[in-house]
Amino acid sequence: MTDRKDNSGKAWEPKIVAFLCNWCSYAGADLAGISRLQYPASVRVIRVPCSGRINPLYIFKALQEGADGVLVSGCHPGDCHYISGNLVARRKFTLLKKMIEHVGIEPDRVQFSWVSAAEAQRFSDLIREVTESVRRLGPARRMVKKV
Amino acid sequence: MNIETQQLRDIAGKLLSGKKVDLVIGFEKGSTPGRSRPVILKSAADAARLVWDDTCSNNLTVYLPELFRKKPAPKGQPPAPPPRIAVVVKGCDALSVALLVRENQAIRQNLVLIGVPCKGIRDPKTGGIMACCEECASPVAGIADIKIAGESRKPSANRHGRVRELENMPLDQRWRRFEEEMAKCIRCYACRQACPSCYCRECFADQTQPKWIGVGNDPSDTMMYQLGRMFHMAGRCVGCDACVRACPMGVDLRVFTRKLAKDAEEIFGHDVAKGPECEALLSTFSEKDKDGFVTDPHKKKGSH
Repeated sequence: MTDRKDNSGKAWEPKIVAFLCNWCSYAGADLAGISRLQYPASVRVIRVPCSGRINPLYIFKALQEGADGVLVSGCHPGDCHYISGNLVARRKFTLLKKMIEHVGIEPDRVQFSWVSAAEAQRFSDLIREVTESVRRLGPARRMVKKV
Repeated sequence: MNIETQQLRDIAGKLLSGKKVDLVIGFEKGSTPGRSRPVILKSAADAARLVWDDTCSNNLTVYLPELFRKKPAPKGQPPAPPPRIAVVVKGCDALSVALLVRENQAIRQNLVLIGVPCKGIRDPKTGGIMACCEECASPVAGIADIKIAGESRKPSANRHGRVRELENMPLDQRWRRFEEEMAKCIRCYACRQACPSCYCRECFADQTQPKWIGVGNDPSDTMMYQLGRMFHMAGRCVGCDACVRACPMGVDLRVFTRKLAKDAEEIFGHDVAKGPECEALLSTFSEKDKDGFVTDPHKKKGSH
C-alpha cells in the first residue's frame, strides 16, 4: 500500500471530492474545523445548497476527472432545509449506487451519508472511514479520462 | 398478406377518409426484403401501403413529441390546433404512449391507438426473436382504442434475465464487460434518436455549458454518455429495445438500460408496465424509502 506512487513520485494519498449540503453537512464540517477535530486531509469540499441538487453527472464527472472517491452528504431525512430535497435525492442515490456497482466500478468509491450541523465528531469519523475504504481500493483507474 | 394487415388498412382508410384523424403512423414494406419501415400517411388512398408482421420493429411513438410540439403561429393568427394522430402500437409502444402522456408530450384525446397482436419481433441480425420480446411483460396494448384481433405472446416469466446474468458476475468481470461494450460505441447517438423517452430539445450530451461529454474518443467520455442516458431513463425505459435495434455497432444496451428498471421495480415498486397508473419515479418520494445506501460511520458495515 505504501509503495503506491502518484505521478510526481510521492506516496499516493486518496483524493476524495465531497459534495456537502450547505445547511447541514457543510456546517457540520465547519464545526469540526472550529472544534479542532483532526481528520485526514484527503477531502476536497464542494458546497451545494441541498443534496437534492446533486445531478448524477457531477459524480460521474468527478470520477472521470480522477477523483479516487466521491462523497455526497446531506441533512438527515426529515430535516432538510428545503423540506423534501433529500427525500427526492434518496431515490436517486439508491439507484445510482446500484448502477455504479452494476457497471463494475468499485462501490466504495461513491458513498453517501447524512450529517447534521451539530455532528462535528460524526463528520470527522465519516471522513476517516471513507478515506480508509478508498485507500484500500487504491488509485482510481476505471472511468478516468486519459488526456 | 395476413388478416391483420388487411384489417389495419381498412381501419386506417376509414379514419382518414372520415377525417377522424389528420395522420396515421404505421409501417410499410421496407426497401430490402424482410424489412419494414415507418410511414406517416395523410390520405386514405395511401392506406394500402400499411403492413403488419414480425419485421415491424420500430417504436412509432418516437414521432409523437415532435408532432405535438406547439409551433409559433404567424403574426396575428391564432396558433394551429394540435393534430389528431392514429398510431399503430405494439404492447411496448403503448407503454411509451402512457409515459409521453404522463410527461405532457402527447395529448391522449388527440390520439387513436391501434393495438396490434404481437408474437415478438424478429431480430434482423440473427433471424430469431429479439431478447426484449422474450422478456416482455406487456405484449398486449391494454390502452389501445382499436384492437386488431389476433393472438399475442404470453407475458414473460423471466423479465430481467439478461440483467440478472450480469449481476451474477464478479465486479471485475462486469467492468470488463462494460468496457468491451463501450469500446464498440461510436457516439452516433442513434440510440437517443430512436428512443421515444429521449425528447429533450437540448440533450445533456450536446451541452457546451457545462460540457459534460468531451468530443474526443476517450472511452471515459463514452461511458459518461451512456451512464448519463441510462440514468435519465430511470423509471422511464419501457424496454422496447428501439435503441438496441438502432445501434449500428451492436452494443448490448439492454443489460444496462434494464438494470435501473429492475431496481425501480424491486426497491420502489415502480413498474412502467402498469401503464397509466404508474407514477413518475424520481420526482416522487415516499417516507418509506430506505437508507441502505448510506455510509454510517458509527455502525458496522454490512447490510445494504
